[in-house]
Amino acid sequence: MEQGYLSLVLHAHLPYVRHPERDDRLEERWVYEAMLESYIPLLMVFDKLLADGIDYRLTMSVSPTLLTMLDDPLIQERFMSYLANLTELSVKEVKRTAGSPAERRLALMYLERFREIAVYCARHHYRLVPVLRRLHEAGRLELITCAATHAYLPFLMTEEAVRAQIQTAVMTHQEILGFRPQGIWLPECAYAPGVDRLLAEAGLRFFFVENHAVEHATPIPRRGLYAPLLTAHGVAAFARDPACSRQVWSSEVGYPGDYDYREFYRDIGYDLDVDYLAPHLHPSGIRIHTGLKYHRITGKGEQKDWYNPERARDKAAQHASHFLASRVRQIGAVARQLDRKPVIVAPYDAELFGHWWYEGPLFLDFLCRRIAAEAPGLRMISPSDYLREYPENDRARLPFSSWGRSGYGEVWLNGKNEWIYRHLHRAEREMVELVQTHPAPTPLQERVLKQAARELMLAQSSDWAFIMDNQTMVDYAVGRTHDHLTRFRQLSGWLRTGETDPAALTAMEQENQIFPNLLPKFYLPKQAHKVNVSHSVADLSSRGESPTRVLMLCWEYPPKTVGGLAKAVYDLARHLAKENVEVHVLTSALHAAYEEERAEGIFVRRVPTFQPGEETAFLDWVFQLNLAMMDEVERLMQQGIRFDLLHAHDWLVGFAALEAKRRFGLPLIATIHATEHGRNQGIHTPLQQRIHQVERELAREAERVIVCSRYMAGEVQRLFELPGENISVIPNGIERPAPPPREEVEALRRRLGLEGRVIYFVGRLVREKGVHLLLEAVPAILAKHPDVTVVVAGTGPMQDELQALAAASGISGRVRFLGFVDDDTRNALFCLADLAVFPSLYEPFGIVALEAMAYRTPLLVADTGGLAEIVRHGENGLTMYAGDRNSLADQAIWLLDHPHAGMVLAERAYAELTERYDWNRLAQDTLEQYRKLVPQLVVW
Amino acid sequence: MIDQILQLRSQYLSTAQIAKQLGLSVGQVKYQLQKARHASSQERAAAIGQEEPTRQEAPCMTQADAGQERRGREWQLPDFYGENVIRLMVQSPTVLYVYWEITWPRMRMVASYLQTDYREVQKGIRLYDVTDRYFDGGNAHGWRDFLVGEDAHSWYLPEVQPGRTYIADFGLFHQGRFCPILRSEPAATPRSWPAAWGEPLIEPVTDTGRPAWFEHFSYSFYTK
Repeated sequence: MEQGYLSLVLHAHLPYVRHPERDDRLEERWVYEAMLESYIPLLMVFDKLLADGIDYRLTMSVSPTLLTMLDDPLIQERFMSYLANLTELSVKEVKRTAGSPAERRLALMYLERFREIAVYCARHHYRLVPVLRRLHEAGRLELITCAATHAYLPFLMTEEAVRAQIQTAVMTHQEILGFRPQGIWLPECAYAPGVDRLLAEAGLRFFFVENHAVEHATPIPRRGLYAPLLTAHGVAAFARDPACSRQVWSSEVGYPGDYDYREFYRDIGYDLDVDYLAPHLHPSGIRIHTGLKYHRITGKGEQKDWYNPERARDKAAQHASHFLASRVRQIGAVARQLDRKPVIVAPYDAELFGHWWYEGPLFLDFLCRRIAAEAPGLRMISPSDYLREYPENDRARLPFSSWGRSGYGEVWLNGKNEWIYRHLHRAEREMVELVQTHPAPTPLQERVLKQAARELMLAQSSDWAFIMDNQTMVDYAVGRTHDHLTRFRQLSGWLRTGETDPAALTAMEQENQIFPNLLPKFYLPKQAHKVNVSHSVADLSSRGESPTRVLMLCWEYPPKTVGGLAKAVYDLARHLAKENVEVHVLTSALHAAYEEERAEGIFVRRVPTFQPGEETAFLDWVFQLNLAMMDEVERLMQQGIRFDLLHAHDWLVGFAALEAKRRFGLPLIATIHATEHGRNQGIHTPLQQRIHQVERELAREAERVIVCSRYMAGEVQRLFELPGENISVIPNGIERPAPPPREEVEALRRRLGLEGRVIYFVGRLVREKGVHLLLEAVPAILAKHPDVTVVVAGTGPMQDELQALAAASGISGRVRFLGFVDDDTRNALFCLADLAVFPSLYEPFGIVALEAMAYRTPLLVADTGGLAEIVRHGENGLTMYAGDRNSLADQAIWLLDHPHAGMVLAERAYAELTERYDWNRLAQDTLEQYRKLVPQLVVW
Repeated sequence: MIDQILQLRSQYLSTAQIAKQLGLSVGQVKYQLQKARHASSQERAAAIGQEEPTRQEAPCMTQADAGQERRGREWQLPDFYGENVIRLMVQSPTVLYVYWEITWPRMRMVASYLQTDYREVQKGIRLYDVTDRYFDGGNAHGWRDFLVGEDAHSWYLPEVQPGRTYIADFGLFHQGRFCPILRSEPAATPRSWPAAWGEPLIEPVTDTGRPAWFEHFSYSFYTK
């Protein structure tokens, strides 16, 4: 009974180096050399073991590129000529060496070997795939797959590209070998979190990782390297055993370096006369490895002895015994500590055996026979067998890792090959986009899509980066990367322009005819991406005639509400939507995340900034917001959403508005809700100067400027030197709300403990709102009406100062600072108040005045800015001289003296709302402005 | 000189980075590297396909620098794609690689904001350690700045910590402030030592359609 298992894994891979255009490409010889020296000798060994009834079990991954080439009649045919040519050379060699028995013996060895191989191949019609399949079906060889073109998966950018590599691999495996693979060899053993999910999706149950991936797994693996770990998605990771690797791979202590083994570098291709060799070399006369090598490694020096096949054979047998004994010892030591039979995983490149280590296949032959004969407490097993015996395994998170130099990615990403990723990643993204934008391709488009996917995958082969790193054949690797990517770009261009060159397409298909049935849909995103929503937008509006589409930029938008801007833009957008304008709002994100929503017919996209507003210089934050908005505009344009015009609100979106106007030639309307100059009663600081500049540029570059009052029109015209005809006045609007129920108002009165009459102010506590004037007037008002309480709702930078002012005037008891209040309280307070006072020093519009009017609250405002245009003294309210506390007191006292007159004014004001400030009407006025810019606007 | 270059090269610095560090021009560094490569071209590779039959006859075919590699071929890949892109990649537990492209409209926008000539502003990478954080731009564990050359389009970021998650901003250092103009997606370096005792067990996941909170790949090319 065995104590443990040995899982030998051979990874067979060559990049797709089929060159139908000519038959003398050196790179294509890689396939023939590997077939001659590795694949066929290995299969011959496996076949013989099977015939001899030896109980053995190996795992072999055959990469889809190699599998395709082995299955390719052209390759088979060319291999036949290659073998014939070599056989001819060895016949010549037998003649040439007639005088040198030691050498002649070796020439004969090769001749005999080549004939043996020719017989084997002829028996199988030069088709190795059926042999592989037969060995698999006999239960001797478990065949698994590899990524489609051996891409270094962690360095792909999108999951779609990883999925395509994996799914295409499984598909190719199934098509050529006739069954689905159970496991996969990850190219270069390269794993990164996330690969496992896509493996699970493809039904793959196991893969292999370098030992440090398991050693550094989280949590600490209880069974170390001797049992697989399951990833979160339930795919088993088997760790490469370092001792097994060292014994075979190491240049110092590894078996292949034994002095009795054949020397790889001494080849008659370099030793003999070029003229003699000519028919067997490359037509250009370049010397190449012929495969006829007569020397043994001998030692470290240059002097090499003749190869001795018997001694080499004995050594292979000794090494097999040594390898086996080491494994038995290893298992003996581990099995005692483990709660189950350990498995040692020994993976190697298949090409090591035979090509580089000539005696490698012999070694495997000895090893398998010895294990079967001696049954030394160890059995050969494949990962699938092991998982069948032990389906339960510990779960862990595995880190990014590979079996390359230093164990991570430096072989495939360094100064020699880094340049490829910019192009590869771009092509990946383009491929995903092409598949999405061609959901129902015509047969021709389908061919273009498939060829594009082929070229992309071929460009992704890790071999190219590896060769660039290795500094051999760099030109070929660079060329392949360049040519595949160039063709990809050409194909992509055809799809975009709709102008395909069918002849060129056919040529590409013939040159790279791998993966005939690959499915472009492998590149379709499976996640719900941002893009999906927007595509539905594009679909929506591509149907029939497109409606007017306006892009609104505004830094605040509900629920983010800092000042009155958010509400005003929201109301305008809503009512424009009612007029069948398709409104897209771009605004700043509430949290650090992008959000997209469609509500009340408005498309709202909230974009995050790089840094949170609180931690950034204000202007820097504003600029970041503009960058983010611009990215979003570009993204929308890329998706084919076309806007008729751009409507920017205030300077905070000025950079993006101007850039979008310039880049995309969009007509721009700017609404200036307030100016920096007005807010500060002048420009005093560099920051104010800068903001003023941006405002000015926005106002001057915009085709039309909308302001909310005649007062503002004058201010904007004067400040920015605008032609008056470019400016339109459209006031802000208000919807007449249902007044809150009486009992709520009374409940609020009780809750706040208010007795007597109430004067109400609501707004930000900044100097320009003039609250200090109200407080200064309170003593005079109290003198006449001692029952009055002043209620101040809102917060702001002046809050402390105002409270101190109230305390100093001894009126603290009669002034209530409520701080921030919610909308319900705010509205109830309007109903509760006997008088609303807004003594602003600067007020571009004065939306609060409209609110007071909507709740039928008698109104006293300063005769300034927009307020003066809304309220006409003695008609729909009272006004006071701006900045004059005595005037404020006088007017307030008059109203308190004449409550009935106040009611009459309030009723008149209420009636005026519908006439002048109804949003439906204002939206139509705005649309009228749009039409001035884009006369051909269509409104459904 | 060449020893210094090779030493920096072994740290995976780009030619531009080496040039900057040694105060040389990019061309000088490339020349030195080419010379060194000829000298070392005796070494042989082992794996299949790595033999180099053309070496003696045509040594110039093995040049590594992109400029040299492009020789004899009509180079058709663009240097720029006209898109704003930044990508952070993990080379090893302690080395990150970042490449980027800034389109000129964005440069213009930035220049107009900073009211300066874009070319004259110091560019750089700010690398944030955002391990286990939902990064909002202000809550990183810490950051490091790497000043990059005017013409650089990629940079190696050495000496980062294993087992951490990073995000890189490309941006400008201007008047004592950093003005970010492109932000990468996160990249996680692998931890290069065994897990601590007591790490929680891993829960199985059955839904393959949905990525875990943190995975290596972009879920789509539209994620920023």
